[in-house]
Amino acid sequence: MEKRMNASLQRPEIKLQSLKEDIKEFFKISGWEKKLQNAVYSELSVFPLPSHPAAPPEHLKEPLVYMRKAQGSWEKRILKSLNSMCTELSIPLARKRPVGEQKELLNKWNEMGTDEPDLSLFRPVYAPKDFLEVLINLRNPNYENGDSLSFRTHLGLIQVPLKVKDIPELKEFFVELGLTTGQLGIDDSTQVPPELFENEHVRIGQKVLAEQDSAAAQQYIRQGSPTALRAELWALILNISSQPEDILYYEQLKTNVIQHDLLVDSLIYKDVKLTASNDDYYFVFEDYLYQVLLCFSRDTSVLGHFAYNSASPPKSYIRGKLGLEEYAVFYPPNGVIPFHGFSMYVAPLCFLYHEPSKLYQIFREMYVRFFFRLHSISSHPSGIVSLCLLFETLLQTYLPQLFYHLREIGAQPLRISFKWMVRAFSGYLATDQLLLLWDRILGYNSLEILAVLAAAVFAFRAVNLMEVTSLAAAEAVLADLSTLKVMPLLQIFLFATVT
Amino acid sequence: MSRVSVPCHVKGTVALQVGDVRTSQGRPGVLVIDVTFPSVAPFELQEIMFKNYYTAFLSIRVRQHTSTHTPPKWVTCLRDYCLMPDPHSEEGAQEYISLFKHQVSWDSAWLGKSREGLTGGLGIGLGYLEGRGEAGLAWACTLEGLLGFFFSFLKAWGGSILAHCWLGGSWAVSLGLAGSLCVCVCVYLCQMLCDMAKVLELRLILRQPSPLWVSFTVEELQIYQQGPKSPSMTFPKWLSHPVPCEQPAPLIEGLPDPSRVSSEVQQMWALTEMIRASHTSTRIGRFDVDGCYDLNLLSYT
Repeated sequence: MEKRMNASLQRPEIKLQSLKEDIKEFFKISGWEKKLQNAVYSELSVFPLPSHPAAPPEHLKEPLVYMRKAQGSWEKRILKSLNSMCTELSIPLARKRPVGEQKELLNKWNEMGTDEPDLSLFRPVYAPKDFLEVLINLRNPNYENGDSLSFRTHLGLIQVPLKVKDIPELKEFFVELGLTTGQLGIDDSTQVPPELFENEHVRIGQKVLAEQDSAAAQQYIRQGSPTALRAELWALILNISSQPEDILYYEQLKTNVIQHDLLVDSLIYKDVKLTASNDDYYFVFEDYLYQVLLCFSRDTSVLGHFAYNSASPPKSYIRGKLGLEEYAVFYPPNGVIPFHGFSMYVAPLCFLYHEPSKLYQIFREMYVRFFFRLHSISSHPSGIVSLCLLFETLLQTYLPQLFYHLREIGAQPLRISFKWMVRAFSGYLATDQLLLLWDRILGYNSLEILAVLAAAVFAFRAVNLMEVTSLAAAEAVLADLSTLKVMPLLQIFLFATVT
Repeated sequence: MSRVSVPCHVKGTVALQVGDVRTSQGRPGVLVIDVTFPSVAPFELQEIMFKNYYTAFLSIRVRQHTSTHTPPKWVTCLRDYCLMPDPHSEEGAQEYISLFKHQVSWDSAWLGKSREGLTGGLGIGLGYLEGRGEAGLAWACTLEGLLGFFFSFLKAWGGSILAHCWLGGSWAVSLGLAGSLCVCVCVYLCQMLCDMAKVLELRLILRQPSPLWVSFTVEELQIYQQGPKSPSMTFPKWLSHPVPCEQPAPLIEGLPDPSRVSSEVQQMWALTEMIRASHTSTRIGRFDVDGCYDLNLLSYT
């Protein structure tokens, strides 16, 4: 923007007295006003509201002290696990690649999937079920959790009293998903004539894109995005525009990958091989996944999101300089240690974006806006703890018989639905359904819809679940979600269930 | 506005409970904290700041110095200020709060949803539209509702607030104008129900009706009074009374007006200064130290 401004200032018709007015006018006609509005809107969506001036920075990350402590201990466990992997395998956390190896990697950059390194000794640092155990043991020391069952006992797995929305509040929040509003995912099915909703919706979508207005796009996408417009709409909402600087930045990250080899790379390889490569929908994108995730690990701009993330980036010291602050660095450079299933955050995006630097930018923005909340302990309404509590509360309140039955047979519902929510349902739903779901995540700027969908899935399969007698059988009933249609489930659960 | 911290002595919390504290099984839902100012003369309180710890409602009583003849009395200056919207859940449980002497947040009244703006109170809103011969009387049981009504009333008639002023005590009046000929008056109570001058002692009454919490209190309590006004400076005589300038020499033909040129040059200079002062915020993205990123193990500290 600065460059454009400088260029326009050199035009002879700009006079100094009217500089302010000329700039405003220039903004309007060149479309930069819109871009500025979009940038401001994007900042407002991402950053939390300014807090009290006396509040320390850790309060902005997470206001509740016991949650901060729990996140700290969890992180320490992850660090210990990674360190022990290093010492066992005698592999350094990071090393500079020899020149020959650098050339080799550069040559096969576009086909890293063909590489078959020996990853048998590597294991993921943690899996979602390990994280669930930590959340189950989360306790507020000031909360009265009596031994005997009373009104204050939580019947589910989560034992912290966070504020979650109930169905009337969810109905208000998700009002555009109501029965009387057209939805893509419902009103675009083959039986419905397109003149009723779909054609008009597509037309409005094209208009929104022409206006390049982020806020309008976010409102529009609550009713779903037409497939043809989705890539551009998401980019507009996330305020991503591929400038030459961004492509250059991506190339710089690629260079960093070539030059330095990280232990985290092997974890990424292993994760991709275990998850995305085995998935019918995503195995074709294996090479893209490496290109995005390896670069993601080197991106120091991601460190910025730790200001509002309850997690903190791991620290290390250059070899031989332990304790010297000038040689302290973050590891990995972006501060994010991938866990089992991490690559599934990227995989669905490969359907929308084929240019690596754009795919990368979209993923990075999705991560620092949404996905980081799914694997850190915080009290945020979109944090995984709140989502788990919301799921359990919805199920208990509206399907009490089912909840009680599952609890009695030792199949706490959260044990089954946790993995869905941590991955934002990626790899569990059919891709078109998943993208419709992620449309709404963007549209409402909240992950609460994941908890509502999880409860809706249980409600849908309630009859079968009432007949099972073990956790394994319950898992089997809910093993395959690939035939589910997301929007009807959500609509019925929120707006059409008799309470 | 500058503020100065007042050294205070916070006495231990006293639980108010019916019956014997030791044998009774229930938990006290009301705590009282006394705050004294042993080394300070009666002062005008500007701000109270603290960190909440699971307190749901806060009331504050203040003992003020009146005249030398009458003994100082206790006056309630804040009643049931809500710190936790839902006492059974964690929302607002560990937040930092500031309470000001006179604080009316217009935005909060407009949106009706701000925490720090207004406390509950009774008020009467009176609107009379001469041009249209209508009168509106509003009775709102919350301050937010009242002011919200008042503003929507004004807005509906295309009006705006003209002025608002403090009437003294805890009352303020707001004057709005709508249309060509109408006056709307809104009289209301502000955050602190009383004047905070000459404070001798404070008493904070904490309430937590929910039995879910083991304990509740407020932490990091700090009291502020108004800081000294910036000292008035005496300007040299020639600054405050500049000598009237002489008539400038008549303009030579063809040259631009010197005053215009000087203002333009000033603006250009300001621009160059701004550009020089602003640092580029583009990150370089280096994660290594001098090209070296050889790491052995992660650090736990």
